[in-house]
Order: sequence, then C-alpha cells, then structure tokens
Amino acid sequence: MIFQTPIMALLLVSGLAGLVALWSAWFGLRVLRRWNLADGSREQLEMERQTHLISTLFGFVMLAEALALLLFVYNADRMANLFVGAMCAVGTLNVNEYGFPALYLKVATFFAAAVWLIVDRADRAGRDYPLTRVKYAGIILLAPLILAGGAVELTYFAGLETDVITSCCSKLFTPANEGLSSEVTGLPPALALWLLGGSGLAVALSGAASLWWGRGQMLFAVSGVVLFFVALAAIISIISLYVYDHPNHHCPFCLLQPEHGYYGYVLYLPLFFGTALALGAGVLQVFVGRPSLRDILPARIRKLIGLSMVAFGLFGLATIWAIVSSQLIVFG
Amino acid sequence: MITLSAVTKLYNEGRPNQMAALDGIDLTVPGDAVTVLTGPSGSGKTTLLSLIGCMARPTSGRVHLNGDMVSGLPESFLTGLRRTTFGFVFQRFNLVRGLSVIENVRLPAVPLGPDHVELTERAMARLEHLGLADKADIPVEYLSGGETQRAAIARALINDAPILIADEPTANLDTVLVNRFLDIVADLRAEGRTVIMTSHDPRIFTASLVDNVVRMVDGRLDTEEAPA
Repeated sequence: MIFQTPIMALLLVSGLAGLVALWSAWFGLRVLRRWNLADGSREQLEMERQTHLISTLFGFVMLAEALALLLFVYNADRMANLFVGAMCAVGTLNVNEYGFPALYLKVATFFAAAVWLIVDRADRAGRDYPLTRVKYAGIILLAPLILAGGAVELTYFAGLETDVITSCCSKLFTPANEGLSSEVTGLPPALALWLLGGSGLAVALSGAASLWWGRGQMLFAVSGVVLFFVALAAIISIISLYVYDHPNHHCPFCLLQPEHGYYGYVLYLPLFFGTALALGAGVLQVFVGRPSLRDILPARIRKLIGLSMVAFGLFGLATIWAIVSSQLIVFG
Repeated sequence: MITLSAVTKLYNEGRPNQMAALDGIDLTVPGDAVTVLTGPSGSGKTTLLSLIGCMARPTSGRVHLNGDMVSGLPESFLTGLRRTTFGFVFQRFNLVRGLSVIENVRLPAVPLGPDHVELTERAMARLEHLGLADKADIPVEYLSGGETQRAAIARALINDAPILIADEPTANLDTVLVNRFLDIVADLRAEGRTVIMTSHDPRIFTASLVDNVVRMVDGRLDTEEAPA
C-alpha cells in the first residue's frame, strides 16, 4: 500500500522536511544564542553567510509542505475505492486512527509554513537582518510540528490495510452521533449562514479599515481566523447540502470528488490562502516598528490584506454560487 | 569614508592550503580623495580592494561605508550597492569580447532598466569625454591597450558611481598612457569622485594628485617609513 506514487511523494517531502527542519533548528539555536550584528567575529560572519542558505532551503521545503496538503487530501480521496466502506477521503482517513491526526498536522503545518515564508520574505527586505532571530525561533517551534507530522503520516500510511472495513462519511457527519463533527453537522443552517455572513462582514470591515485608514490589521487577522473556522462549520452544516442538492449529505470531503465538479477545491483553496495571508499580515504587523522595515512593511501588509480579501471574496462568491445554483430548498 | 575594522580574509579556509590574504587590517580610506594601495605581489592589495568594493566578504571584521556597515549586508543589497556606489576597473579590464565599445559601456546599467536612448546618450558622453567616441561601434578586441583601459573606465562610470575602484590600472602601459590615465583621475577628482586603486607602479603612487598611500606587506599594513 505504501508503494503508491503519491504516498511515496508525500513521505519523501515529509522526510526531507524533517531533515531540513532538524538541521535548520540546530542552526537556529546558534542564531538565538550568538547572533550579534555589531560583532565582526568569524562566527558571526559565518552565520550571516549560512543564514541565506538555510533560509532558502527551509523556504523551499516549507513551500513543498504547503503543497503537500493538497496532494494529501487529493490522495485520500483517490484511494477511497481501495477500502471497503469508504466513499470518499473520510473513509481513507478512517482506515486507522492516524489518518485524521495526520490531516490536522498537515493543515497546521500549511499555515505555519505560510506564515514563516511571509516572515522570511519580510526579513530579506531589511538591510540588517531585522527578523532573522524571529524566523529562526519560528523554525525551532516549527521543527517538532514538522517531525510529528511526518511521523504520524508515516504511521498512517504504513498502517493502511485493505482488509479493514472502514466507515463512510455519512456515519461521521450526521447529527445523530457524538463528537465535534456531528455537533458541527447539527449546527442549524440559518445560524451557520448568519455566522458566516457576520464573520465575512467583520473581515470586510476590518480589511477596509486596514487598507484605507491603516488601522485594524490585527483585527483583520483575527477575523480571518474566525472566518476560517466558521466557514468550515458552514460548509459542513449547510453549504455542502446545496452543492450535493441533498438535505442530509454534510460531508466536507465528497466536495473534492469529480462528480461534484471538484467544487471543494473552489471553496477550500481561496479559504485556506485567504486565512494564511491574513495570518501573515497579522504577524508582520507585530514587527512594523522595526527601523529597517518601517518603510517597507506597511505596504507589504496592505498587499497581504488586499490579496487575502480577494481570496475570501472568491470563497464568498463560490458559496453564493453554490446556493443560487442549487436545486435544493432549505428555507421556506 | 570607508572604514575597515580588524578585517581578515582567509582563502581555502580549513584546508591544508589555507592562506591568510589579509590579517587584522584596521584602515580608514578617506572619501573625496585618491588613495593608492601599494606593496609587492601577494601583499593583499587586490583582496583588500575587493573587500572595499564589496566584491568579497571578509572572513572576520567589518567594512563600513560612511558609517553604515556594508560587509555583512544581505546579497541583494550588496548587489545594489555595487551597482550604484562603486565603479570597477579590473586589472585585465574584463571587457566582453564580441561586443562593441558602447555595448560594453552600457552593460553595468542594463540591470537598472534605464531608458535605452538616455543610456546610450550617457554612454556616448562618457566615451567622448575619454576621447573614444569614434571607437564606439567597433568590437573591443580591436582596441589598443590605452583605449581598452579608457573603455573600462567609461564602463565603470556609466552608473555615475561616486567611488572608482581600479586594480593595477596601468599595468603594462607606457609612460604616455600612464600620464593620460593620471589626467583622467584628476578629472574624476575634479568631479568630486573618490578613487581607490592598487598599484606597485611608482609613477602612480608618487604622483602629486595621490592624497593617500597605503603600503602593504604580507597581508598587513606596512607602518614602517619607506627609506628616503
């Protein structure tokens, strides 16, 4: 089972990311302890040279990790026909107890990687390595996440057994069961839409305030994160019903299948990118006072917020299109 | 003003053939002046010049330009600094064969993306000033030694760099051409540029327009007085 091309690719990315993360974190410890730009010692100059190499390498690995989330989800859906009882990615992820933890760790790594890449890019814009310590502290924090993600992923893939009867999404995403997914599934559709509209409005208002008056960037970042979770809940509670034209089919993974026009990708890609950019804008806002970034960061943050609003806007349009083009009548 | 603090430069670091080209150099090179680095072959003149011009990084120590630390700048900033602050005349001039004189002169400005017509006018003005306007369209391999040197100076100044760095610019040139070069340096000084060059040619470092002579030996500054 493990010798499937996408699985090998995913494990290769995770293995590579783990090795680079370990090396980078080791170097990061040196940076945190010894970095001193006022010092002209051999060690300091050596670190200055190495930081470019290690940041570039780690950046590429983080980019690969971010893209690996897409492959992981696509692969989980693609493999559903190999397991008895599986109808979509949910069945594949439920084959053993490591499937969903692997997915959650991949999602966490995606956002952490996106934020790190944004901070790295900002650091390279400053003449005096303004965020070098910050980004290496970030690597030290990220390394355990990357290693844990790789280990759980390997355990999950190594434990895939085709003779296991797995449960399909209708068992997981039903209000009748217990658990978070069932509770979200049971969220009243009207409430879910109101919450989605409300958080979308908060994102739009805080984003507009950030762009026009240069204020409220942190609020925008927080609103973006809130919108992300509310949007996931709304997808399970109501949006999926519209896409499937079915009053009881709540699965957020069947949306990724070709018979539903891969509509999940239309919803998830802008949602994930919008949230990652909002998070990045919020993190950069913390460093806006650094002298060598004072003239650079405000424009960058505005750009991130603008792009994030475009991504959230695309998600909003995809949601509205799902509702207006559906044959399903939920209200009235 | 360029300041070097405790600068060392090792080549082949950590290998059996490790060599210290510079060893603990503390030096201030004044701005708005002509400075010549002199000393025997292997004394570290070219290495020191390449560190001053931000073409290489020291193994330890710092280089400051007008108070700003430049030797540790990230590479993208260093590239920008080299393009806008320093003009280089290399020992072998390093003009690109196959290109015409004016194409060679325009070359360092191309990455900055200036207007082509304006750039060509600027390059022609430089060539005219150095008496090379009539050679603008001929390939550089047909130039004489003195013409090649002047074409290299025109190229070094195309971005209007305030500091000209020249490595043995008069090697293998006769006295007439050396005097012609010194006239050009005097013009550059009159324009307010700083000139820093290496030379072990007495016709250069004893010239009256030279403000500052830095003597080097075995990678260190030679602080002993030269014999009268």
